[in-house]
Amino acid sequence: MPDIKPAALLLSSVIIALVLPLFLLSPAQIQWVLQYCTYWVILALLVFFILGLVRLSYDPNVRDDWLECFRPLQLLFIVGMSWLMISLQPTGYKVVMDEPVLIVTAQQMHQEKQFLVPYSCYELGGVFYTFDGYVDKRPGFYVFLVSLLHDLTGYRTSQGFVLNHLLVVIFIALLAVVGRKLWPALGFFVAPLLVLTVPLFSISANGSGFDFLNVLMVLATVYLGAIYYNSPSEERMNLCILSAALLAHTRYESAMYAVPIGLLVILGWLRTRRILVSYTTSLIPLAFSPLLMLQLMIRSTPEHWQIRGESGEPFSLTYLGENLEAAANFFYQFGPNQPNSFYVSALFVILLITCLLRWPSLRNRLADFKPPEGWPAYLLLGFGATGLLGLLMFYHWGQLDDSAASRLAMPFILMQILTITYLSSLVFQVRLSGLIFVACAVFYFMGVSRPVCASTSFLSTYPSVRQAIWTREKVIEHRDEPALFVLQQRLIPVGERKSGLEIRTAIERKAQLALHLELQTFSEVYLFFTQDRTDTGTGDYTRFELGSHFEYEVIESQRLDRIREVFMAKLIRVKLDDDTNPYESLKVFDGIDKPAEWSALHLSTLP
Amino acid sequence: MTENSHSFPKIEKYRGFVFVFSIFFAVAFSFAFPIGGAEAFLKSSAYWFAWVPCVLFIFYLLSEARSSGLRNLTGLKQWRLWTFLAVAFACLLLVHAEFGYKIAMDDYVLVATSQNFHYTREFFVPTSGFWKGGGADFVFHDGYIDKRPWLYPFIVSIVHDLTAFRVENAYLVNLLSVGVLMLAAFYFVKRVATARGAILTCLLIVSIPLIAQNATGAGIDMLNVTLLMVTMLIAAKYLELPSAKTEGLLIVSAILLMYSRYESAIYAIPTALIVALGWWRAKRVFLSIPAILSAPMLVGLILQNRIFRSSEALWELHSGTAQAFGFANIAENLPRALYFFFSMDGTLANAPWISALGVLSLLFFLLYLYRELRSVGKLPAATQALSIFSFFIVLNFIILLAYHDGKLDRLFASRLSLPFYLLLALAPGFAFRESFSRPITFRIVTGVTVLFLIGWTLPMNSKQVFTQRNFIKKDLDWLIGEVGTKVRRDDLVIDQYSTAWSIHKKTALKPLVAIQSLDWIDKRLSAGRLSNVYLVERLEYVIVDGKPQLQTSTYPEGIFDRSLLFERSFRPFSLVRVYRLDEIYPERLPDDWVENRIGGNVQNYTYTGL
Repeated sequence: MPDIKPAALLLSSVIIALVLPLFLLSPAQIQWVLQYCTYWVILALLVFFILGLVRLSYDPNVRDDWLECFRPLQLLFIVGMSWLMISLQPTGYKVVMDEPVLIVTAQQMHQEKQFLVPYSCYELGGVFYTFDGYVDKRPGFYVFLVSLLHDLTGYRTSQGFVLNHLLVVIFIALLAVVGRKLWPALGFFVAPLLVLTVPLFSISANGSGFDFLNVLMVLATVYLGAIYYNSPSEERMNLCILSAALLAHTRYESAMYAVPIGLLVILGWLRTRRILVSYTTSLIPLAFSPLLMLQLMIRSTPEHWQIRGESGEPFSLTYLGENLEAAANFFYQFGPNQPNSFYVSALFVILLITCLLRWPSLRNRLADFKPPEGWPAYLLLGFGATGLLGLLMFYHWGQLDDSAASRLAMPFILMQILTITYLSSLVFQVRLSGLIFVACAVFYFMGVSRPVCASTSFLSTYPSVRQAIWTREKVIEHRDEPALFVLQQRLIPVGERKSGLEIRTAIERKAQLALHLELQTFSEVYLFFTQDRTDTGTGDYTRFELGSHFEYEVIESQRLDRIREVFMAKLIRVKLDDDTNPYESLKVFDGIDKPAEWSALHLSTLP
Repeated sequence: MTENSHSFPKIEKYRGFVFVFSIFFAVAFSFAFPIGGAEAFLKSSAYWFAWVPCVLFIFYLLSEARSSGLRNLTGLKQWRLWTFLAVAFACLLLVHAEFGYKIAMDDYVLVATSQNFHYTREFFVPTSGFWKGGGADFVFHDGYIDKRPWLYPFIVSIVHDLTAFRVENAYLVNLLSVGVLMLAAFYFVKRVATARGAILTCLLIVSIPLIAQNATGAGIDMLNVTLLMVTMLIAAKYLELPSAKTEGLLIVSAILLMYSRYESAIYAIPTALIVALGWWRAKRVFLSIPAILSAPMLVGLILQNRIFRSSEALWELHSGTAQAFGFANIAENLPRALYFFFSMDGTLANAPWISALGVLSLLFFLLYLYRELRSVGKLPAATQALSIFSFFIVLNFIILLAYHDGKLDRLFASRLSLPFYLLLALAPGFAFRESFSRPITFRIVTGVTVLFLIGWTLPMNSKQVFTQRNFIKKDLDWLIGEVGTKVRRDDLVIDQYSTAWSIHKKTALKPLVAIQSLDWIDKRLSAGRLSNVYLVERLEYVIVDGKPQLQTSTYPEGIFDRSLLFERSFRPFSLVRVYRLDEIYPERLPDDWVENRIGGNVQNYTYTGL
C-alpha cells in the first residue's frame, strides 16, 4: 500500500489539474495563468529534475555508464561526432515563422518572465518596450532554456542556435551510452554514427527550433525509464516522470508520451509489488495542467491550427493517403531531395523482417539471450513514437516530405536507430561482421550524407526562410540606429530588440506613422516587402503588401527565387487621405504640459 | 572590576602635543585661507591631498598583512571555492553589463578631472581645449574646480599613468572596486555568521541592479560604497585587537572614504568613536602617524567645501528651490524613497526583496542589540562596528532625504541609496546569523534570493531601463560617436556639454562663451584657422492647436547663417540638431543679449521627467 499522505496529495493534484482548466477558469483566466505561471512551473520541474540527476549520479552503475564517455577515445568520438553534426549544415533559421516566434517568446521570458509573444514592440531612446501580446501555442520548455541562457550569459538572438549546439553534445553522449546498453560491443559508436547519416538531425541542430530538444528529451526519457524499470524506486520513478513532464512541455504532441510512461510506472510497481508514490510524483499532475490549458486555448482558437486552404478539420482520414505517400517519399528516397537516411530506413526494415522471420533460430543460437536492461521502456516509448507518427498521418500538416513537417519524424527515426542498434547486436554476433556493419555506416555517411549536406540546405522550396535570413541580416546591419522596421515578419526585428511593425498594422495606423515620421521618433522607417512577377508574361513587377499607401525609396533588394524578390526601402512619406488628421492621437495631450506625462503619453500615440 | 580597568588610557605626551597642534594648524589653515586663493591652492595641491592617504593606506595595509599574515587577515583557507564564487558572482554582475557613462554629466566631469590629473596633476574640470602648435598637443584652457571629492578621479588618473589615457580606465576602477566590495563584505559577515551567511550576503549584493549599474559606469559611488565596506571591515579588525598599525589603517581608510563622496565626511564620527573605543580597550592612546596627520590631510576637503558653499550654482538648485537642505524635503522625499525601495514597476534599479529582507533584518538586529545592551562589549567586533556605522549610514540616509534633490526614484539620485542598500544587504547576515547555522533557514532564504536574482535582477540588468533612459547620455554618445568622427582638429564645436567633447580632444565651447566670442570665431574662420564651426542645438516640440511645433531657436536671430547637417530625436518630442555655420555676423548680436543670460545656460536641457 502507498503512503496515505502522498496518495491523497496525488489525488488532489489530479483533481485540481483537471478541474481548474476544464471547469473553473475562463479562457481569459487560462491565458493569464499560462502567461504568468508557465515560466515558474518549468523552472520548478527543471530544478527537481537536475536535483534528481545529481542524486542518480551517486549510483555506481550509472556513474560507470557515464565515466565510459570520459575515456580518451570515447570522449574524442563524442566531441568529433558533435562537431560533425553541427558542421554538416549552415546555422540559421530553418522554419519560419516558428523560430522567430520562439526567439521572441524567449526574449519575453527573459525580460518579463512571461510566456507571451508581444504585439507591439518599440525601441525608444534605447529602451525596448513591449505591449500586450498573445500566448503562443508552442509549449515553453525550449524557450525557457533559451531565456535561461539569456539570463546567465546575456541577451543574444543567436542563443537559440547556441542552445541547440550545446544539446548536440549531450544528445550524442546520451545516445552513445544508450547504444552501449543495447549493443555492448559496438553500440557506443554505432548509434551516433547512424544518427549522423540523417541530415534532418543536423538541420534541427543548426536551427533555433525546439525539435532537437524534443528528440533529446525522448531519448532521456527512454534512458531514465529503462533505469527505473531495471531497479524501481521512488527517486528513479520521480526522475522518469519529471523527464516525461519536461518532454511534454517541449512539443505539442509530446504530452502523448505520458501514456507509455504511465504504463511503465505501473510495470515498475508490478515488478516491485509495491505502489510507489512520492510527494514529488503527487505534485506532477499540476505540471501537466498548463499543457491542458494550452490545448484548450489552441482548440478555442482555430487560427492556431493554421489550416491550409478551405478544408476544415486539422485531423481527418482524408489526409491519410497523401500523407502516407509523402512519408514513403521521405523515408525511402535516395538522393539530395530529402534530409533522410535511406540507409537507416532500409536497414530498419531489413533487420526487423530478418529478425522476425528468423526469431526462433536466432533465439536458439543465442544461448545466453536476454533483453536489454529496462526493455519495456524502449518498447513502450518506441510504440509511443510510432503511434505519434501514425497520428501524424491523419494530420493536415503531416506531409513528411515537406521540410517544415519532416522534423516531426525525428523521434521515430531515433527509435529506428535504437532498434537497429539492438537488432544488430543479435545479428552481428561475430566482431568482424559488426565492424563491417560500422564500416558500411561510415561509407554511407562519406559517400552520401556528407556530400548531400554540403550541396544543399534542403530549404530550396522555402523562399520565406531565405527572406527571413536576409531580413535579419539587414536588421542587424542597422542595429545601432533607433529605426522602425515595417515588414510582414515583424518578429525578426523584435528579436533583435528593434522596433517592428506589421505592414497590415502600418497601413491601418497610417496617421500615427505619419505623425512619428514628422516627429522623427525613429531615425528611419524601413519598409521590407516582396514583389512577384505577374503571370501575364509582360515581365512587369506587381507590388503587393504595401498598396499605394507609402512613398518610399528602395535601397536594397535580394532575389529569393525565379519570380520573387524582397526589397528594403526607406519610407519618405505616408500618403494620407484628405480627411485623415495625422495629429488625431495628440488629443491626449490637451491640457498637459509636464514632460514626465508626455513621456508616458508619447507611447500611446505610436502606430 | 580592577582599578586598572577604569584608568584613562595612557598617552605619549609628545604625540598628544603634535596631534593637538596638527588639528589647530589644519583648522586655522582651512578657515583663514582667503576663498579666492583657496581655488588656486586647491587646484595645484588637490592631487597630493589624495596621494598622501593613498600611499599611507597601501603602506599600512601591507604592514598589517605582514604582521598578521595574509592568510589570517583574509582567512583564505578555501581559496578555490571562494575564487570560484567570486568569479561566478562577477559573471552574474557583468553578464548584462554595458560599460559606459551612466550619469550625465557627473561621469563625464569625473573622467575629465582624471584626464587633467593625468596631464597636469591639477584639480580642474576642463570645459574647453584646443590643439596647440598646429595640432601637435591638445591643451585645456578653460574649466572650473569641481564640487565632487576627487579620490575616484585621482585613482583613475593613476591607472591612466600606468596604462595611458583611456575612458575605459574609469570603468576598470569601478569594476575592481566591486570585486573588493564583495571580498570585504564576505570577510566582514564571515566574522559573525558562517561562510553560508557570508555567501548569502554576496548574493544579496549581486541581486541589487544598482550595483551592476554603478560597477560598469564612471561614477564615484561604487568606490564610495566599497571604501565604506572596507572601513567597516578594518574597524572590526581594530576592535578585535586594537593596535597602532590597525588604528593607522582605519583612520587612513576613513579619510579615503571622506575623499570619495561629499556626504561621507559624516563617517569621521563613527571612525573617531571606534578609534577611541580601541584606545579604551587597549588602555593606550596609539596616535599613529595617520592619526596625527588626519586633520591636515582633510584640509583639502574643507577648502573644497568652502568653495562649494560659496557658489550657489554648484548646488544645482532648480525648479525654484531656495535651500539645498531642509526638513520639508523629507516629507516629499520619504514616500519617493519608499517607492524606490519597494517598487515593482521594473523601471528602477531597485531590489524589493533585498529591501524587505534588509528592513526586517535591521529590525531584528535592533532587537538583538537591545537584548544584548548590557553586555555590548562582549559582542563580536564586527557586530560592534556595524552597530556604530549603521547608525551613521541611517543618518546619512536621512540627510539625503532632507536634500532637495534626494528623490531616489529619479535616475540621477537613486545611486545615492547605495550605502543604505549595503546596510540592507549586510543586515541579514548579522540578524539571522544563528539561523543560518541551520541548513533549512539558509536554504529557504538563499532559494528565494536565487529566484529573485533570476526573476528580477538579471532581467532588470538586461533591460537596463534605468540606464537607457538617460537621454543626455544617448545624445552625447551619438554626437561624439557619429558626428564627432567628422570633427577635425581645426574645427570648433559649440555645445552646452563642451566637457564631453574636450574629453575626446575636440575643441568645443559652451554656447554662452561662443556668443561672447563671436568676433574671435569669425576672424579665425575668415582667416582659415578654423575650417568648420559646428553648432549643436537641442529643441523641444510644443503642441499648439493640436499640432506639434518645434520651438524657435534660442540663439539671437540673424547672427549666423547655418546649414542643417544632422538631426535625431532621443526623447519624446525633442530633437538634437547639428548645424554648420556658413557665415557669422557678430555685429548683429544685440548689446544686452549676453548680459541677460550670464549665470544661466543658453539652452536649458534639464529634463525633469525622470
